[in-house]
Amino acid sequence: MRSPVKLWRESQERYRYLEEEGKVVSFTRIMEGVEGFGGRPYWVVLVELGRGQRTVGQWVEEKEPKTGDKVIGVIRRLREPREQEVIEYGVKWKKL
Amino acid sequence: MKVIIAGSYQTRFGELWERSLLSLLMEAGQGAMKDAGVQASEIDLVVVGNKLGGRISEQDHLGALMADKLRVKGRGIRVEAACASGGIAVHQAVQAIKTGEAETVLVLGGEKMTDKNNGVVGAALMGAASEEERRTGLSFVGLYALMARAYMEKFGARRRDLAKVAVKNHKQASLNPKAQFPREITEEMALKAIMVAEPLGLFDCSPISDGAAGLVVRGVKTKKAGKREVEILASEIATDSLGLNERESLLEIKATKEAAGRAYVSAGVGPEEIDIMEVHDCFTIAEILALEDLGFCKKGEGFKGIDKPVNLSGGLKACGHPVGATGVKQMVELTHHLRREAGERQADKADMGLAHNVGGTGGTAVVHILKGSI
Repeated sequence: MRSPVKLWRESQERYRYLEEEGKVVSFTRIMEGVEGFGGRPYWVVLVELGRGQRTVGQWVEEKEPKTGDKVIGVIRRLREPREQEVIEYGVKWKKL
Repeated sequence: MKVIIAGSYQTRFGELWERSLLSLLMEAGQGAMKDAGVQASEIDLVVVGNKLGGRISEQDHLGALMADKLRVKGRGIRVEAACASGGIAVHQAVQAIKTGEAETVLVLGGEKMTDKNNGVVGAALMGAASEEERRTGLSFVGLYALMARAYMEKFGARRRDLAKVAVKNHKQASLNPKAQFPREITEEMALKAIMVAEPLGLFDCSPISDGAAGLVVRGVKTKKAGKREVEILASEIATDSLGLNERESLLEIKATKEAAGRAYVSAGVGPEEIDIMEVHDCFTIAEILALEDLGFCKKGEGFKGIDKPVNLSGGLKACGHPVGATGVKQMVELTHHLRREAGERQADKADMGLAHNVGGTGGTAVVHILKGSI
């Protein structure tokens, strides 16, 4: 089980890019998901923010991303919580 | 004083259901000592490279374990640097010899990966990535896919160019009886295979493997070289950010460039003098980046290939990638060629070899340069 204390400690970090804008510099569709992220394929984007910083996050749109897409960070659930586990929220990326 | 490889051994790589991590490491250790003609009582130090022992085999304390089980005279330590654990183990052995701490070192690299399902192994491997990357559900295939797409869009490489790397490495593995996949594939097979993380398909990826490899490394004072002796001319490491998003460029692995640059200086040779190489092709794109970052071709041209033998073992792609074993196995393979003992797959010209081992997406890189004495 993921520690609630650890999730609390990391919350600032997880919301760091909330409502920040950036653009997609690369992306991939994960067909075989990592444990804890559900069985369905999902897109992950590498985003360049205004200040030149980069970050990675999941893509929340149905339509696939493209390099150069303008995006904004939104709150979403990150991992699939196990029974009695704290739900972990953080930032994913949406087309602007 | 020079540092030499006196003995080398590789177990078979593959899905070895009947084998445990301990039994693989034992075979590698005994095999390397037998090849070197040394007794356990002559070994001052055992260095074990391993990444997932704790997560998969519930066994972390591998240094003491192997020193005890192999009944060596000296002591044992375990080192970890993700998929570069094997390369780092060799580096630590060289350092121990150079500082005078040890004269004869047994280096082991090993991994048992098939005792857990792919989702669990995938999550465990992500221990080599950054916290930020782990939170996204990225896998290692996904991380290299991000690099592959950036590379393809920048330099116009196609999926077919990536497939050529897999076809070549499978062909070379078909001559290697220790390989996990000693079978040829075609470009069409590679291109039609299922996607794992777009744009990387199944044949762009190295497999999940069990296996181990061992080397006996010694410090010798005499200038005269024995016939089967292979000298380690350079052993260099470099590190960088764990997170791909924190790198200056997605189109290169800076740690590889740094380690290689220092290795060429310390060996006093350049890339043009290297005859054969084992490079870290955990994914096809990784071999392409390696050829560029090691200086064998210009940036953006690696996907066209080079005219030297690359990954005659079959590479990580087709020989297999038991992560902790890989960096040691690369040097076992080079040793076979430099001694002219590689059988059917022997390289025609093999005086100087280079081994390139990467941890994570480039958080660690290790480069060794070896010279034969024939």
